[in-house]
Amino acid sequence: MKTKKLIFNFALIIITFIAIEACETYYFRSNYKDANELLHRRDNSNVKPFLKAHLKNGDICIFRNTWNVDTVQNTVSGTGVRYDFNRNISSEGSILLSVDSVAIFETNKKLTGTGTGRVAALAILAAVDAGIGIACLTNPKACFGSCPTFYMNESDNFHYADAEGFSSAIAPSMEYYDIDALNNLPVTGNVFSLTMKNEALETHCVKDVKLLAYPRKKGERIYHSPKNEFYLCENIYSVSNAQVSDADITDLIRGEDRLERFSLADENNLSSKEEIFLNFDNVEDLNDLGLVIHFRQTLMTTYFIYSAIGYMGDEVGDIFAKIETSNDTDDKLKSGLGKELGKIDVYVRNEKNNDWELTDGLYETGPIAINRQILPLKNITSGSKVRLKLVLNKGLWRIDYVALTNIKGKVRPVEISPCSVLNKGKADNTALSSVIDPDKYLISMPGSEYKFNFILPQTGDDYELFLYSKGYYLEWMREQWIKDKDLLKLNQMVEHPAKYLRSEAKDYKIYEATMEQEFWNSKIDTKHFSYHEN
Amino acid sequence: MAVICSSCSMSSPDYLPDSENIDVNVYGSYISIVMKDAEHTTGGELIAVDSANFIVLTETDDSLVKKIKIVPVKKVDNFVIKYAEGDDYIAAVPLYTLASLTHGYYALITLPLNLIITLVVNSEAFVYSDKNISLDDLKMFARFPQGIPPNIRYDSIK
Repeated sequence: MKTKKLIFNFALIIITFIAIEACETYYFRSNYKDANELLHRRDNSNVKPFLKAHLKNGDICIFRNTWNVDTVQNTVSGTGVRYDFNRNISSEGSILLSVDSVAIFETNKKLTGTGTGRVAALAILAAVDAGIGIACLTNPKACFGSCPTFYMNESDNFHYADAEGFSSAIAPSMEYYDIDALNNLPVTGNVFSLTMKNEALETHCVKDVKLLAYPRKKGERIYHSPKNEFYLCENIYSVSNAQVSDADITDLIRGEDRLERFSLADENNLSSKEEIFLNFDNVEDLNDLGLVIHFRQTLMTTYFIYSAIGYMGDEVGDIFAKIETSNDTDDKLKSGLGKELGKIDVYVRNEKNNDWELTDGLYETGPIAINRQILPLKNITSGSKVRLKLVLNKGLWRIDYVALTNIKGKVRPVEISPCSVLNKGKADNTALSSVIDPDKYLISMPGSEYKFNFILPQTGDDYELFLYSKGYYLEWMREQWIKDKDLLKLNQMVEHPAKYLRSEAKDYKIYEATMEQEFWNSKIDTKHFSYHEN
Repeated sequence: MAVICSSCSMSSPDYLPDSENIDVNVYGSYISIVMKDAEHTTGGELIAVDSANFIVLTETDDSLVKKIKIVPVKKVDNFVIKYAEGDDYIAAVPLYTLASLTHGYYALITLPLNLIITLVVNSEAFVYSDKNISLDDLKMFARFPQGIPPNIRYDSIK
């Protein structure tokens, strides 16, 4: 909230400033019905104002500051200009008027410095804009997002994104499909809507958007695994105790409350690992357990993506062309940086053997939407206590929630294509055909919003819903990145990731200390999305 | 926002003086009148005003022919007068809006703020409305504060 508050306060100061200026009333004009009133009520300042004499016949005389009223002769005299009723000049020079011919005298004070407040307000605003601009241009990774974001409530902003699609697909050859649990409330009615937004300086090429639905009864949930399998589950066992080194983090990861546990990166090596120990003391049914985990990434991977593009500098087009035509890009990325950073590896304690057995790992790119997945566990020994260990890269993961559940069985959700697409509230059949036709892409530009409507199979049933999205996106090269060109570093990042992660640690720590904190401090954490709490 | 935009869009005719030359201006102020039926607005130079009528020299669409229009006070919902030409900061509106594009996520906050603030800066300059000036004081801003002299035919006023 800190940044938002700061911007808001600045805006408040500026608006107040302008409001005061705008509300200021300029009492600059005075009218006098006769010469006596003019002489007695006029300010006795040393500077004599220009005098306007509105004549009874509609003419007007403007006397310069040399005018005089002769109360004996009952005249006004001086040098000036006389205009007729249509304001054409009728005479110029010495003027002598009978006071009786004048209907009204008028004086005006000079208006000076009236624009000062406005100039000051614009100057303050320019300074604030420049400050934010410089901060974002210096650390663009903290201000610009990535990939399409999806919302069940279309008015939500990216802090409340329900899903982010294909975050790793930064080139056509990297296109893939992504499945995200929507953690939806009980469904009412048979129409379900999802809004897709492009909130970044990117071109999103969306090949497919579908809803995956499976009916659920009270007490049942369906979870999605990293292998894209779906499990019907019942019972939830909360974590009894969670420890990292000597710190108790139980409260942070026991509830679906968006209070997340995260750590900062190692200052010497960005691929340093840490261990989280989880104890579940009251597991009533040890059969077919699965670990439910809600997680997302920090801005670390976003930093690497933007850094890589920055290292390409003005050769970004050529390098991306090579990536497109190369067969081993995907392998290099998976075996390189991705492997070094690793997954959230889940280990189960085997008390008989007195060791930890690796079950599997979870991985989803993206810092915006929380991923909600299940990992089926194996080799749980008897008793009511289950001990797990998570091994994960320091400073890379944010964990909101962990729990155990009993898996009733594997299920297959139905796939539902959108029945209509709305663009700015109006039906967009071209967009609809683009996402339905497997050979077409829906192109979404910065600021675009598309609302997808889906018809659920059966009215009255409740469904667990998942988003299926497929496509890729093209990051817009920003001028300020070109200066970061460093092909040797790019090579090191791809070919020698371990060395790169050590050498980049200091630079990343500077970024992490400022923008990571600033970015996430603006999070509004009062809203709950938990199915259970609603 | 609509109010800000409407006051921004108030045209600034040639006869309005710069704020520095307010004391030698010989014309009436520009007045924009909104009628109670909300369908009609009248704008032009304020020629005279009394408790019964506003007399306004309006410009027609071709902006060359001017015509006197008498507007009964009782049919008027509100009015705004502009008595001087302020410095023009209208270029700040697109300029500051564009600046928001460098703010990434924060543009969600800074873009509307920049728009509002620059529009406010461009509005309200040298303006009175029915909320802060009485009809009696409004006379001072007419070409003929004393009322239209009897010797002048309405159709001869230009």
